[in-house]
Amino acid sequence: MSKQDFADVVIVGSGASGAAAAWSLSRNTSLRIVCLEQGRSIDKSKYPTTSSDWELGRYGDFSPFPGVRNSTVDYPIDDSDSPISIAQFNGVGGSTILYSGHFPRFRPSDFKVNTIDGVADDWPIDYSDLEPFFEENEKIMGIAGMVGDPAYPSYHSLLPPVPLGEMGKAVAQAFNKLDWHWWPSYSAISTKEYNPFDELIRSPCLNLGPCNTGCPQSAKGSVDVTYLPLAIANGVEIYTECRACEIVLNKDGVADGVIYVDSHGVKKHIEAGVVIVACSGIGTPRLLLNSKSSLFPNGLLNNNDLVGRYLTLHPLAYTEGVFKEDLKSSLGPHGCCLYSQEFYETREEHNFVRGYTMHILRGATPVESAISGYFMRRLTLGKSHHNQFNKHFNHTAGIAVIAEDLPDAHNRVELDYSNKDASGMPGVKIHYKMNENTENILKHGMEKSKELFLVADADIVSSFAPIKNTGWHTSGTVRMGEDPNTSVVNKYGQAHEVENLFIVDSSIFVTAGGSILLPLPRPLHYFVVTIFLAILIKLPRVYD
Amino acid sequence: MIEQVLHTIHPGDKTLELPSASELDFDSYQENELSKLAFEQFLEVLSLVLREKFKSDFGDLNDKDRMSAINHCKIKDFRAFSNFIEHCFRFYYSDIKVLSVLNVGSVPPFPRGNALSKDNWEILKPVLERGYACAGEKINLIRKQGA
Repeated sequence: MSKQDFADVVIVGSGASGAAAAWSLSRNTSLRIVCLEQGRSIDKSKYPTTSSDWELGRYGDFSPFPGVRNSTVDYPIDDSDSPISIAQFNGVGGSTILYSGHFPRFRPSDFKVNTIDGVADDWPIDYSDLEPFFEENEKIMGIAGMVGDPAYPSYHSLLPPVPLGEMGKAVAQAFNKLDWHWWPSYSAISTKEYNPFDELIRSPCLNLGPCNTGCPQSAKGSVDVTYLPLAIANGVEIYTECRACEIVLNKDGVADGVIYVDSHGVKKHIEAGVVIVACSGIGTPRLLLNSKSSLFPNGLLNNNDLVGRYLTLHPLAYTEGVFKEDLKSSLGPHGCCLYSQEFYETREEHNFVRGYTMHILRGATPVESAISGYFMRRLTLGKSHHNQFNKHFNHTAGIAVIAEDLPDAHNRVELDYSNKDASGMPGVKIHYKMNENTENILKHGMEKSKELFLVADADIVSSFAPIKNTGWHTSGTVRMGEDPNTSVVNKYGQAHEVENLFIVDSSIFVTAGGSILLPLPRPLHYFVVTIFLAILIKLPRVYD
Repeated sequence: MIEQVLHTIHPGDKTLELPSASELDFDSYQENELSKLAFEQFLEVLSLVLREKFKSDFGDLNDKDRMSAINHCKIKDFRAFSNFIEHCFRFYYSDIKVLSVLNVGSVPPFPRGNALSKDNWEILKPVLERGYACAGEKINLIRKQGA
């Protein structure tokens, strides 16, 4: 194995958090920063939405499920012991390539659930620590929305909101009749040409709909069109199809670098002054658990058996309504329309603590409409089908209830030695059960979703929970805290036991909140930049 | 037989100008190994149903019995049936001839976008007037504390 490559900083993962880490550190241009990415760089001209049969891409190379993509750049995930399947994408830009772009911030209460509700733990940081970084993050990602939301009073500037469309208006009127909170979605979608830096020019959104198979217009703010171009312009190098399989320590217990397998299957070692891990709530514990040494025989940072535990997944409930009128509901960014946090916080009259976001989804696409319409018995086969489809397609709306999932040590990620990836590294096995609190949240959310559709004069055609194929939001598996006995990293994402090892992704979340995870890792990252730089000054540069 | 099966499921509609599935490019669709397998497995189940229940070839049945034979497959092997039906929908509703007729807006590769009606944000007035009262005193207290 060759050992002749050196970098000041090695970042594992080029997704939401890794890309932001790369960019913010690259502002110090004297640093050599290398980002290891197990996936490939995605050619936008190959996105499914460049051809008419784009929906088929969801069942192939652009599926959010590694088991469906069946690609050598993915790793096996056995989620048979979970009611929720893990969704993720490996490639330059990570899962942001396929996300919908919904981008609300965490709320102040999300950091204080123990103080407020007596459950789980408080974070060692709070909203005010991160607020300036939220703003910077939103500037780079280009967030559309509307200032003035009573639930989020601290927004100062946003791009114009994504259009509600006729369906959005119909649902908004129902919210108003019920006197419930709602607001246009916060969306990482450029609703007008957006050019915050010379390196970034993003076209305006054309309201096509299918954001979650990749946006060929670059209107959606995935990090391959936001942070990474800025980082690359500053000299960051991305090694694609290079799978990190072990973080190695020297005899003093300091991270010495990363062993990875390149696209030709050759094992290599890159030395590093600082190692940053940003592989998601699943990939990060996988890498740590696979990094065994005499100091950490059960996996790196895992002497207290915490790595991989406290997995949270944001279980979802889904309710679909069908309107009598053709509202052209499938047009517009699919995942971004409007949202409500009416039931986000704990209330005395509820049989659960914490709560949920109601997330209004636009109508299903043609293939999805036909499949769900048939299996929900709205559509038959044969001669009547076409007329029935006409009354169904573009008439529907969905409400996703995103529940706050309280951490539980039994919910965990562990290595699966019986299923290995193309390089021979073990896959992962997921053990996850919903707790009673989450089940009650979902039940309540479905009841309220039905109530909303009834007021909107829409027929309710389905309502169920949990939705199996929604395990996008993975967090909590390498949790942060002040106490090394109950947490793995400190409030800066720095490992308690290895001073030049940082974790910057959602795996360090203490709790999951009741909305979307994506806007948080990046501000978290900025927060830790100062400590990165301090460490870099303290440690000798590896090639000096 | 597959063309007759596809036509039975999606016969098309002249009034709506929708084509029959049998008029679409099925060969290209089933180049994909997974779809090919799904169609083969379904046809095996259908052949069994035809032998046991109808004692006839699919082509010799009338429209009603053809549909009945297809629906019997659901009872015989639900997994094979549902997998096949999903592929039928994917095949039909991703064909450019069908999408061009449906009210899907701009069709990929998206030479143009879709216009949505302009929003009148007066609709937010009730939300603004009410404020964020829903969260109760506890949250207001936290906000005051700057938590």
